[in-house]
Amino acid sequence: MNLLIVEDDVSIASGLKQALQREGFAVNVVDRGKDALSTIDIQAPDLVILDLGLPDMDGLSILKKIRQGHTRLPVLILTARANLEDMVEGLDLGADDYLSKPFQMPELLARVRVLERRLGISNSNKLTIDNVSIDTSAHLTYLDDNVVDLSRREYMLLKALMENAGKIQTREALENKLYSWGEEVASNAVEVHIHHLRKKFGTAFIKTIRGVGYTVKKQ
Amino acid sequence: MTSIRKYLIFILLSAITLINFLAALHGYRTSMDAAEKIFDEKLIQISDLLILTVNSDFNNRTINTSLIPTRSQGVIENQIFYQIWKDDQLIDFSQDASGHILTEFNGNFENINYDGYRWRALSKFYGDEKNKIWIVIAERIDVRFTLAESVIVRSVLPIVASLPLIALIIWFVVANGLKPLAQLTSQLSQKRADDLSPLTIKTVTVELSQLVDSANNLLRRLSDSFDREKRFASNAAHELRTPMSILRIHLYNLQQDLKEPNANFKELDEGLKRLEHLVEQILTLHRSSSENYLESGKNVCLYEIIQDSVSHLYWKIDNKNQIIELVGEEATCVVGDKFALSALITNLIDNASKYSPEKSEILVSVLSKETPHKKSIVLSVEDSGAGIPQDKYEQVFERFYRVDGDQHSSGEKGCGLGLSIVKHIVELHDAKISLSQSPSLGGLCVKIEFPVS
Repeated sequence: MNLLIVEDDVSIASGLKQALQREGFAVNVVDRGKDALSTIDIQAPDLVILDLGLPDMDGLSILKKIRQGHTRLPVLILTARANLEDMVEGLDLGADDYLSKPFQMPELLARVRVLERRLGISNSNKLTIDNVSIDTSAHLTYLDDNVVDLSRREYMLLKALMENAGKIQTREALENKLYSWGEEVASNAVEVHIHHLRKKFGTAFIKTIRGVGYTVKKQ
Repeated sequence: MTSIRKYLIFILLSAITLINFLAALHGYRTSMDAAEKIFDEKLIQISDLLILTVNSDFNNRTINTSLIPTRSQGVIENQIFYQIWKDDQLIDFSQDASGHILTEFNGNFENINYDGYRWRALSKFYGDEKNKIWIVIAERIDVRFTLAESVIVRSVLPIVASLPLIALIIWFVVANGLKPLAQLTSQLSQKRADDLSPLTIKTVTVELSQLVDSANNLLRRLSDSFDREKRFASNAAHELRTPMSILRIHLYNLQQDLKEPNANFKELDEGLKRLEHLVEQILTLHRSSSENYLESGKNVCLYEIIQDSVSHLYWKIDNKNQIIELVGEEATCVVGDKFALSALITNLIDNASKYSPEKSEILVSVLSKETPHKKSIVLSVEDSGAGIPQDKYEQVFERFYRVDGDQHSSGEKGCGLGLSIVKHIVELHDAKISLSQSPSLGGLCVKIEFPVS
């Protein structure tokens, strides 16, 4: 996968490049918003990691410009401004994900992988935790190499939990992922799906955080 | 407190009343004197006219005084009478006049008593050595007085009558003159503590413009310095976060190169974590300070914020195999600042996780409470850790204070800002915080009661 890092701090850029190359990504670095836009126009990368604090242009206006020509190009925002308004604005403008500095490298890598799988260009579309795996391109789930049949919503639920392993997904967040707007959702719909998933993968795989949501433990 | 308006109205009114009164009094007196002279002048003229009527016929005429009818007192009809004497003989007199000598013949005015009244009497001499003619003419003083007074009062009365009108005019003039001041006062009183916008006054007067200018100058300088401080904090955040990111990334790369676990690396990692935590806490403390507390007055759902905070901190909680639960009502909202409340809850849950051992329990609850007097929402965070000794309850809210200093039994690193941030945010929301021992879990129980209007 081809990544473009837009970051003016040389040390961060080189560190990121090193870490991402080690993970097998092809990485290009530019340090100016203008250069980023021209690079994207000439040869669009698969994913852009965009720092908001660039010297020549405001990061959010770069994002707006990117979106004008490349509506589906995933953009992950990095910023030292960690306030809610900036984050909401960034996501409203079409950023796919948002990380505030300083961040943990594994966190960044995990998010890049989620975006990669979403694009369907990952050389490994298989996500495995314990003895459960999902193939995001073939939409198949496995338990110890045996295919497990899941309904569409059960599959989406499992995928959401496994892509965000180690993090809690609230019931509301899961409902939003499973059902489109206006669709009738039974108040216990998510609970019912979780119940079915547990029957198929064992009760310990998905953990309930009472009052908050559900999580799948990271490996 | 004294009011300038009341003071001005009172002083102006009393001064004008006093001066008007004195002027009226003086006018009355001089007018009375002048009237007296005019009346006297009139008597002289009448006397001069009368002498023309005294012809030679009178030379031999005498009046038998016994013929004059005796008159009962108090029935005088005319206000003037006269007597004409010749060689001490009364030769003519008007109706109402007495036949007796009433005043000395001295050519002067005298005040005399006759028939129950005071009279102003003039005796005037005409004639020569042979014919000594005296005319006595007298006028009732009370009539003169009444006449003079009625004229004078008519000219003085409008001055007195105008006083209420003057008072009314003063009232409006003073009120109008003080209008810019009233505007300024109302603007200042409506101004919120954090509103540093300049004052605007429609009608600027010389006296007030100086004051308004000075106040606006002060407000501008204050607002500039707040802006500078905010910019500084935001710049500092950026400046500190960037080098910390550099450390983080290169530390990660170093770890990947090392492959083997390394004690030095672990120390480095711990140190960086502490630095990151300290910087975040200082920025949080700054951002939740009252000058930056701008997003106040919004309805914030506590339950959602707790869910977010728990999700955010879950990796830490999960690392220690702790169990966290959230119970309570989902629709509990308080009025406040979302960022500040989020910092408050994150700090409390982070503390509970940090200072409780592995496999301990954390219980977060949010419940509404209703007593006959007031409604409130109670947020509590309890844990099954060691708790805080009761005598330290006050101290833990101080900045940079840590129980047992840096040798905290949990071995956790901290900077001692968490609870002071919490307390600060609690105060911004007019809430109350209390520490106690958790009845169900045995550790610390932090309770925060938010008022609901």
